[in-house]
Amino acid sequence: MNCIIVDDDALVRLDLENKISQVSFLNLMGSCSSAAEATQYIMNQQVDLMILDVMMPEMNGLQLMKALETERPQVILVSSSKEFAAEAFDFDVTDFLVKPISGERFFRAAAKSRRLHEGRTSMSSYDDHSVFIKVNTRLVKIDLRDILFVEALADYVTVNTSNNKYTIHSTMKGIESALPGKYFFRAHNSYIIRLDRISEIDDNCVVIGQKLIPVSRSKVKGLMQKLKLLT
Amino acid sequence: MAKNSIDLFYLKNISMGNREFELKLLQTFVEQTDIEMKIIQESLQRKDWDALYASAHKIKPSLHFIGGLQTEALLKSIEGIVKDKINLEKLPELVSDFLKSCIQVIKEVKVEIENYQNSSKINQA
Repeated sequence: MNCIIVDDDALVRLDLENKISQVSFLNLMGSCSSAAEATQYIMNQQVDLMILDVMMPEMNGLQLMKALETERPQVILVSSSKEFAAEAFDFDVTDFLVKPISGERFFRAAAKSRRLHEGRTSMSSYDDHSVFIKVNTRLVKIDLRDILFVEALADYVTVNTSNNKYTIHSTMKGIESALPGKYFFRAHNSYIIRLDRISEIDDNCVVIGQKLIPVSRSKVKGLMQKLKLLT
Repeated sequence: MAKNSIDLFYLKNISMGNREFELKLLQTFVEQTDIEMKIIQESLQRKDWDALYASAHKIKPSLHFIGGLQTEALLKSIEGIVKDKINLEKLPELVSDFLKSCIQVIKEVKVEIENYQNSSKINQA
């Protein structure tokens, strides 16, 4: 897993670098002292995990998460103060660590991030028409034409087909990368939709089957272009 | 002032025997703390509470690394006062105590750095 550290405190960065060097599945790509530096990494490289400080000058950790939106990799948030914990979990972060960070606590957070990362590959493309998804210990082959939409539920997603609903341990980003962009569209942070199953479009919503699905304001134009409709 | 203002037990515990890491952390501590002390002093003079809070908040975990617990406790008091904006009149004395304490901490850290460097010279010889 590729990771970066984002903390303006050089000592904390050193400590985290040392801890990461002891975790075999983590590959440290960069140690950044600011949100701006981190943004460069995230935009130009495949970053799977960001270990991010809350309080930083210029742009703090929470602001950085807001700015990155759907481009955001997994985040382990670190802070000297517990007061940001509640807000942190509103961002669906993988973990929240209070400084000074013990080795045991860090390794537990890293293990959790790996479980989630592996979950991202709980859906894999088989061929142009189907995917395999991991349901508990089984691998189930699903025809892409059967998928109506995918919905996010915290650390899980549900893949909704015409006849079934599969709950898998994964992230929207992971599912999005496994589905062909020609047929599927990320309409909202919490929804990926099958374009040719849309029956109605109304304001910032689409209807698929009986389900009314919201479309983020920033995604409306992209959706219309995909559907080749004039806006 | 207590003779031993620092205790490297925590640092040695997290380093898992990596002496290079220990030395680098001590050197970085000296460089960074020196800068933050100046910021704290200047922020107090300007009554810039946000800058003072940010600096106190930043330096706090650093002191934990080198076991400067008494100095860390002073910093926590400063941080609390600045955050709540209550008893601000106590700040000059607290900051002064903190800076004195920090000077002692840095002095002891520098001795440790020298010890590390000397022992690595002996090992190389």
